Amino acid sequence: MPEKRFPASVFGVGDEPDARFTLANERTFLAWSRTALAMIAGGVALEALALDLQPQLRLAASLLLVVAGIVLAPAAYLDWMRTERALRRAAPLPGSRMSVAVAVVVAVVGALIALGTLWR
Amino acid sequence: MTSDRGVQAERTELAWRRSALAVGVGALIALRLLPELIGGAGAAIGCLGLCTAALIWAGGQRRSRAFARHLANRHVRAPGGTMLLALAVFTIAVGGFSLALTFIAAR
Repeated sequence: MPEKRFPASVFGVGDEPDARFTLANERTFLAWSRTALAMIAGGVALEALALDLQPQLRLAASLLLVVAGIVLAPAAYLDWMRTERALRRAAPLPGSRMSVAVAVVVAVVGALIALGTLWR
Repeated sequence: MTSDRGVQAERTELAWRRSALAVGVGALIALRLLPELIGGAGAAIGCLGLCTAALIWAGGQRRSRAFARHLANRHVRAPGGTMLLALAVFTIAVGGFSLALTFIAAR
């Protein structure tokens, strides 16, 4: 069966893995996508709702959340590709730095909001 | 990993539904907040968001059924990654638009 599925860089490699692993990989991508959307929504809400915070800190927190969300979306797709390729090759799954990045962003945003509350 | 192969396709369909709902809720919030910021265009964008949510729901359902058929018979090919890329691109677009909105709201 000639391989026509997109992307070729994933499906042209290796053999068909157990579909349960592919499905688990897909669910992981969807979870990261939702995380990205939630961060973007949170960033916009911070400004659009005009919450009572120091304006520059609030804007900084908002922008950091939105930009992080924008970066997270393609990162999640690339991660899906890498993992699917590894599954097809029966190779070790690649590590991911998205968790650390999101944790750092959320911590910094939290700190900015806390300071923004103190310095209103 | 559970031993019931059919369950995995169902779990994935539910994951797509959660994603559709997330976009839908975002669209409703946009419908609520955007008209104050950017007028009529805001309502149009909110409606577009709701349509996208419906597309994600339907697409996820179709995709999960294709996976279920593949699980039942290995000779039936599993779906490719087009819908995943589409969702990633959509999220980036929402982010870019939201960035502009954030600056508008900050003024």
